[in-house]
Amino acid sequence: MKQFLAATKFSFKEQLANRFALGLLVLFVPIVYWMYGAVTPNDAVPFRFQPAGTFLSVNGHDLMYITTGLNVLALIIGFMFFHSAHKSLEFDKRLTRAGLGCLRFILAKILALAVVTAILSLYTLLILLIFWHSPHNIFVVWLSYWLISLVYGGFGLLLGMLLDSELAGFFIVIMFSQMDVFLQIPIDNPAANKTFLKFFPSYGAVQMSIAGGFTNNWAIKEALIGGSWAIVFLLIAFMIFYLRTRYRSSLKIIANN
Amino acid sequence: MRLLKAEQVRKSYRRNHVLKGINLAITAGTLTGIVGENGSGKSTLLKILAGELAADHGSAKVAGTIGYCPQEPVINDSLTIGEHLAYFQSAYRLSDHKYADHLLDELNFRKFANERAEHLSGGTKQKLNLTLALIHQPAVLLLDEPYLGFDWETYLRFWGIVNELRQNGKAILVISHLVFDQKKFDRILKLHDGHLKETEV
Repeated sequence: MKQFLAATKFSFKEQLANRFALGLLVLFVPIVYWMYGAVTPNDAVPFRFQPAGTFLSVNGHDLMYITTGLNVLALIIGFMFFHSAHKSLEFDKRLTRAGLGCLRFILAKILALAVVTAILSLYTLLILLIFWHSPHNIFVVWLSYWLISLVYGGFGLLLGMLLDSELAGFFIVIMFSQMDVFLQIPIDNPAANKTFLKFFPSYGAVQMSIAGGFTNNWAIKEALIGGSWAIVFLLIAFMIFYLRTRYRSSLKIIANN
Repeated sequence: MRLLKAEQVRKSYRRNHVLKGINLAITAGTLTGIVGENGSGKSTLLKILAGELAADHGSAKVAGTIGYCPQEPVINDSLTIGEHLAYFQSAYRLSDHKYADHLLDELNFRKFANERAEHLSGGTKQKLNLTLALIHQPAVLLLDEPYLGFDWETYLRFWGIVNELRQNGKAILVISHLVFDQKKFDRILKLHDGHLKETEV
């Protein structure tokens, strides 16, 4: 338990120490909301709402607000967790070699991810409410923001443990997150109703955000699809971590003094 | 008592055969040095002995705990020195980190205990790197260029610590491309062309 608490405390601190990403989020979110809001008209936009199996006619201006939050969170949280995982991989390896239980370490990382993303998605929601006062169900919108943060936090962790090049990781996070969210939104992509888009990581969070913004629905099924992306990313990430931290076969430790 | 034994260790990077059948045994209470030119395979050998890298052939056996000090400091920039010690105390399941505290004094960097690692100088980072390798007072110490970046005063203090550890029965292996004080070692081996050869101390 002591190891788990120490690992959680220091994993949490590690994320908070990334002042650049946090500063970027704090400043970037209101600026982006303001800018996108200023250039998007109030025209009605048809959105394929999967939980009801129908098209909703939603205000394009509001749709842009709600999905901008998803976009920014995917990008910055992905970057944040990639950066920390990549930077501390050797250190984390040293800790597990020292005897920090791999499972305890992984659970601590997941807890830190869950708490940090919950807070940052709440901040993004609060800024959204300054610009758009009347989303239908604020709690569901927050859940959708948290969901996209968990998905991209997991994706960032995976890349951080997989890639040796920091630059490659940054580019992949930027390209992948932007393409993923962009394709789901009919303002950016008029063909956003295509079936294959269900298989994209942001699908669940986008559907859930629209449910929260414009309906009484919670889009639970779609959220679970999104959640499974987070689980898959995290599973792969920690499998890579486990493989990278195990003792090499040529070393045999006979006994511990 | 023999605490480390490596037999027929071979390692190649593509066609570059770095280690061509290394045999090495280190006993308790001794200090062994391995010297060699840049790129001769010293760090590769140490990584294999520490279990960081797999050999292509051969085996390494260690009796007891290992303390591995890598050449580049492996620390976390976002944590303070004190937090590093607490984290590793927890990882090693130690009841305290008194020995690490003793090293903070010996290596004269206690004054930075509350500084985050990103704000430390290269030499102080190296002191922390070394302290993390020794915090649990391991039976076998594998030190890769441990005094790189130390000033003269710290260099002398480092040897004081090493002597203390040797007297306490630890098996110590230091690798370096330069060995100034050969008399400090019980044995010096030269790694050349993939083989270890004894040199006179």
